[in-house]
Formats: sequence, structure tokens, C-alpha cells
Amino acid sequence: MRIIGDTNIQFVSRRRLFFVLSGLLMLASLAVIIVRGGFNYGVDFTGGSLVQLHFVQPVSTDAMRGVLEKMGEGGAGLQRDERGDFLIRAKAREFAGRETFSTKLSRQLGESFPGNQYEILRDEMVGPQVSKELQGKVLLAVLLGMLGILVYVSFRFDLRFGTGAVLSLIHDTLITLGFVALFNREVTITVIAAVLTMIGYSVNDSIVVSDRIREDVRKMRKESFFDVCNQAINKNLSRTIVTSLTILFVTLALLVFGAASIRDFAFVMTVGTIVGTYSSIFVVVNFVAEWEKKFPSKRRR
Amino acid sequence: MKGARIKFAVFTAAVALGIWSLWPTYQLHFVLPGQESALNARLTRAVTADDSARVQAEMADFQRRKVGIHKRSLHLGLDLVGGMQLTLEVDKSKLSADEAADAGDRALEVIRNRVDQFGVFEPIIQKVGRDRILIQLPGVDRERAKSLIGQTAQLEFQLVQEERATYDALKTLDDKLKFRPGADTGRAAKTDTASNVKPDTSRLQALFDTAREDTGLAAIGEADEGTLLGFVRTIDGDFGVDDRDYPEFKALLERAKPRWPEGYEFLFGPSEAHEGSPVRRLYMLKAEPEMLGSAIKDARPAPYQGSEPGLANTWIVSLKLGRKDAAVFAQVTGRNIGRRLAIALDNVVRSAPVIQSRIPDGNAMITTNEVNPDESRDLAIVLRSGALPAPVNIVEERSVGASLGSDSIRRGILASLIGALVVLVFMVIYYSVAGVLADFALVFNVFFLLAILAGLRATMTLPGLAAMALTIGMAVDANVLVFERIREELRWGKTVMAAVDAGYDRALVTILDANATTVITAIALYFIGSGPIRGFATTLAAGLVINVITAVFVTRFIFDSWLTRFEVKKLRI
Repeated sequence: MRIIGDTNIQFVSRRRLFFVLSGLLMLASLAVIIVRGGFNYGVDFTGGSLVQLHFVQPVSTDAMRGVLEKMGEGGAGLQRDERGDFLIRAKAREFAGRETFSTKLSRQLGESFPGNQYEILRDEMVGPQVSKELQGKVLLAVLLGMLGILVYVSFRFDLRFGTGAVLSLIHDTLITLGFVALFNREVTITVIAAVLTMIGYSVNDSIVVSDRIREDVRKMRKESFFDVCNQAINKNLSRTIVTSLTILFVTLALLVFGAASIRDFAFVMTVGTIVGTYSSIFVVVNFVAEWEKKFPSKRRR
Repeated sequence: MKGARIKFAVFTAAVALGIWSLWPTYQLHFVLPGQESALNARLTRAVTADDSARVQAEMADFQRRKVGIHKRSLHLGLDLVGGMQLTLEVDKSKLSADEAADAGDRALEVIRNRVDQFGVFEPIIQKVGRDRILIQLPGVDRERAKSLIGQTAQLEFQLVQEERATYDALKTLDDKLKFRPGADTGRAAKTDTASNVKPDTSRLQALFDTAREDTGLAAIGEADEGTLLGFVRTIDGDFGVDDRDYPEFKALLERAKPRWPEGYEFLFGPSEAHEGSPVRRLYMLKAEPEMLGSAIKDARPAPYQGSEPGLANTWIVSLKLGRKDAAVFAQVTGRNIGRRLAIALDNVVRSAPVIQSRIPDGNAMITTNEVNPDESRDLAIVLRSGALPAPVNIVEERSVGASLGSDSIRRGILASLIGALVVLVFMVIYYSVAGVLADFALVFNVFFLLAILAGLRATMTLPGLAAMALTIGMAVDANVLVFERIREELRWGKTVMAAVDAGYDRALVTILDANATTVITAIALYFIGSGPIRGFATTLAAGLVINVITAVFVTRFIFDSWLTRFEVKKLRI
């Protein structure tokens, strides 16, 4: 079976169109992030407490809000999901000693709803110091990951492809983050892991095409560099789409059937895979072609 | 095809190795639970004391085996089994530089001591960096655990009641309990009167001496069922109970608390190995401490330098007391020569040396009779932790309830299976026979990935599960690359064999390059370092490496064998 037969789509000569499209998408993402006032960061990064609470006898949101106010935590975020479980987010503060938010909450729940059994399904508390450290570590990991890719691609190919790969990576990250902000997904460490994985995958895709160009440049002496690029994309189109599909099958399954805590991850992976596929077809090679046009490499002339 | 035999042998060996690596995991999750419930059922059915003693012995064997198997199997993270993870930080703000130096070690010792009391299965307690302690407790009462762990350590020196008097006290308690209805909770009498006893080499005494006469309390262990004495055995001259009886014994003892002899209390030692099975010593102590931990100025491990030949080359703890406390200590030791002084940290008796002589100047030593310094070091830390409390703050907590954990597993596995199934079906539809081959590779991928993770003693977390699902999606990528290339070569009019060869050769470099970048990001992720993400990074990296190997070697081998054997002339791909 074939999804895509032999194609000869003129990707490269229409590159300006795709540059404009990508630019618009990136601008839109930036705009969304700014309008939304940044991201909805999870406790990993803001510090604070996240408690997921399940009651045996259902409790109304108002009653729960009352409990929080009694605790002096009126500002805490409160969400009730379809199963009637509560997600409570309390602000960061100095957690002196062993009195954490959930300890106080347990005490207050015992007073306010005597006789109603509850279970704390999840309790995450990140102190201000730890969250600051995590921010630093994540930033470092993202920068190291990008640097590693730039170095590897530049070493295996050349600076053109390296720069192209990193540009597409920024492109993919920005657009994916735009979607994260648009759908108000929580940014946790897991989501960062998804972003990094997506980056790795997107570059993987770009490399396959670049590899083909490198191979064909040697073989197809008569064709122009643009034609070689264009054919490389076309030859790889089937593979690019098949691989993206298989990954999408998995991420969509995780998104639909996975546990709540994995859905944000699956969301980012799904969006990232689509954006990454787009960029490896329409952005990276076109960038390299544009570079070649501006600064023709001497070898080929 | 040259080397086909060798390749086949290597492949078979790899599969065998994988099965060997995964065997404990398989046993842990699919064999042991059945055995455990069968044993429990037999225990409830057991009628006679003999029966139940036999089943209990089997149970103890079983538990030991389970611990062994658990150690060698693929661990599930707390986000999957439920439990509590705490990061504690030692608060040094009120300590002087000198006091702060080993504050981390002291806090660690105190916390170990406390966690031990929960009886949690396989807790993890480790130092992270200089001042942080990471604790992982699978399935515990969170609030109780948190408040216990956060408390400041309390060290007390208490006089130990003599054996005879302790025995009599227990007997009296038994007699009193007998007349109370509902007191018969004891399940079995212990018939084994621990006899062959290795000498009590543990902690001895500055002052001191270990040689202690056998108490000759013959009745021990032969008492009636459901009585305190029914549980008690002698351990190197001390009283003790089997660890597995400990909860029941403790409950029974607590119930009798109002009738405890006035001015005395019962405390236990930590769980220790005795003749291959875990036991806890039982002490009857004067409730009023003779001295508090704050009396200690310093405690250090040191090699023995005295003249006693029996102690040559052994390690001791040298103990310094403050001037005021030295006077108190002189009095206490002077009055109680020959008796034992228990060192109790948070109500756990860590050592009970015999007082050898009056200590006038506040400089004492506790001998251990051990050539190995570990014990003296631990005891010195215990002593210092009482003297210089190292307060801890909880700086991070990640707890997942057991029900949420099992829900996560169920849904994670379901989602992964559905994703994998769609991929499998898609590959067969899209590449027909070659797709079946890719599916084979995929199954082997998952198998090898699990085997390697088990071999690495890695922990499977929820993100790890996601990474596994992702590698399933990416696993086919290498094969897709190869297959697309073969199709292309076939279109150029090559023979099947030549096309397959060219397809694999050309795709190899691409496959390596493509996977390298994802491995780079996985390594970067590993450095973020938080537990679940590490699981993700490890799984992803291992998965990609295995992908390359199976795609390049395993499927090619099968492909080649198939083509030669059936002399395939036309390939549908």
C-alpha cells in the first residue's frame, strides 16, 4: 500500500511562501503567549502545593472553597473534575519545618467534614528553593540539548544544516509552546520533557532529509542544488509521513486513554510531532537552499 | 549466507539473556502474589499450633525470597505504586560551623532510625548533595510519617532492668491479661527456644564487659499461646521477638500498658539479623532517664588502645560529657556497676552496654568487640545526633495515593497497548510481509527494552511508560527508512536481494544520525534529575539504542534468511 506515490512537489521554489507561513505562526504563538500572560506553570516551577482530593461523599465546590478560606488560603486555586475530585493549588511560601499545606488541609477537613472519608490522591509540594533550582536545571537541560544538537549536526553535516536544524528547533518549540498557552495546559517538568523529546524527534526528521541531500549531491552532478533538495524532500515524503503517523498513533492513544498526569505530555508530543513534521518538510531544507543561494558554496561551482 | 549460524546464535543468546533478566520481574508480579495469598489462606485455616508454626516458617522463607526477587526485578516508581517521596533539608541556620559539619549524617541516622519503625517494604533513604535527604516510602500513612520524620531527635540513657525481673514482669502481665476477655490474640507459641547463640559482641562498654551469664530462664518460649512470653525468645542473653511477630507482640504489650510495673517501660531495639532471620530485642527500662542526650559533648569512633588482649584491634566509641553532666554520670555509673545502661534514640534502644566501673571525669568509652569500624561509627552518630539535633525541613514532597497509582498503571498500559496495536496493524497494511517483519522487530524491541531496564535496576515511572510507548512509535522509523529505500531501489530495477542489501546499507548512516540527536536530548533530560524524568530519559535512550540494533541487525538477519530460503524473486513491500 502507498499513501504517497512518486511526487514532485515544488517545495523549494515556493519556499518564500512557507517562510511567511512559519513566520506568521511564530508571531501568532508569541502573541498568544503574551496575551495569556505567560504560561500556566505547575508547582514544579512556581513552588507551592498541589493536592488532589477525593471524597467518599461528594462535596460541593462552594463548601470546599469555604474550607480553604477558613484555612486562610482563600487565594488557592480550586478545580473540580468530572469525577468530583478536587485539585487544589496553594501558593508558594516558606514551608518551615514539617507543616506543609496538606497537613493543615487534613486537619481542617477533619473539622469541617467530620465523618466524611477522603483520600489524598496526590500531594505535591515544592519549596521555593527547590523550584528555583528546578528552573535552573531545566533551562540548563534545554540549552545543553540544543547545543548538543547544533554541535552534532554541524559536525556530521556542516554549519548550514546545523543552523537550519537549530532554527527549525526554535521554530517548533515556539509554535508548540504557543499551543500550550492557547489551550492553557500546565507547564510541568513532564511537559518540558515532552518539548525536549519533540525537539529530538524534529531534528531526527530534518537529519533524514539532510542526509539524503548530502548523498544525492554527490550522485546527481547535473542537477542544480535546488533540484537536489527538492527531490530529497519528495523522495523522503513517504517516510516522513509514515513515521509521523506511527508516532501520532501512540501519542493520540496516550492523549485519549492515558492517565490525567500523562495527558499534558501527550498533548505536547502530538502538537510537537505535527509541527516537527511540517518544519522538516517545509522549513529546514528551504533554509539551507536559501543560504546556498545567498552564499553559494565553492565546491559545487 | 555467511555467518548466519553465528548471527542466529548471538540472537538466541540475547533472547536468553533477556529472559533471564526479566525472570525475577515476572515472578514478582505473576507468581508471588498467588503464592502469598495461598500461604495466607493456609495460615487462617491452620488449626493446631504446630500447623501454624510450620506455615509461619514457610511464610518467613517466602518473605526472604520475595525480598531477594524484588531486588533483582524492574522497580515501579512511587507514581505507579503509590507512596511518599520527601526531600528534607538540614536546617543549619542555628548550628555552629563545627556542629554543622556532619549534621547531614546525623539527620540521616535519625531518619533511618525512625523509618525503620514503620516497617515499610524497601524504603529508600539517601543523602543528596551535602544537606539534603531523599526518602521514598511506598504506601504509608503520610501524615504520621511526616510528623515522625520532622521531629527533633531525642536521646536518653536509661537503666535496663535485670533479666529475671523482666521475665517476672512479663509473666505477671500475662497472668493479668488472661483474666481479661478478648485477650487471646496470639496466634502461635514459639517452640524454638533460641538456643545456639552467638555471643553478644555488639556494643560493649567502657566501663564494661560483655561476658554475661546465661539467665537460664528455661520457661521462655514454652509459655501458652496468646501470651507475651509465648512470643519471647532469648537472643544472646537479651529477650527478643521475631520481626514478623513484632506488630502483634507490640499491640499486646501496649494493651497491657496500664498494668506495666510502675516506673518502668518496655522498648525495643532496631530490627537486626539473628541466625538469618530478623529479630528485635526487648528491653525493660526505668522510665525516668538517668541522663539526656544533651549531656554528650562529643562521641567519636576510635581504635581500642587499652591493654585488654581480647579487645586488641577492635573499635570503640569514645564519649565526652560536659563538666556538670560528668558529675551526674559519675554518680549513675558508681551506683550501678554491673548493670546495663541503654542508649535509646527516639525510643529505640540502639545499644545497652554494661557499666564496668565508675566514670569520674566524663570520659568514657564503649567497646564494640568489632574489628570493623562501622558499628562504632554508627553508634557515635547516634550519640551525637542526640547531643546536637539537626533539625530538618521538608523542602519537597511528592505523594501519590495507591489508588491513583494503580489507575495510572492501568491506563498507561492500556494506552500504550492501543497505540502499539494501531502501529502494528498499520505496518502490516502498509508494508505487507515486510511490515510483519517490522512488527517482529517491534515486539523484540519492547522485550529487550524491558530486559535492559530490569538489568540496569531502573525504575519504571509514568513518564517512563510514556517513553516506552514513544519508542514503539519511533521503533518502526528505522524500518520505515529501510523499507522506503528498498522500494526505491526496486523501482530502479534492482533484484530483490540487491535492493535489500542496498536499502540496509544506505539507511544505516541515516538511522544512526537520526537517533543520535534524540539520544542527546535524552541525556540532557537526565540531568534535570528529578525521579520520574530520569525514568523517562533512561527509557528513551535505552529504547533508541535497542531500536537501532534490532532494526539494523535483527530484522536484516530475518529478512536475509527469508529471502535465501524461499528464493524470493518478487518482493511486495
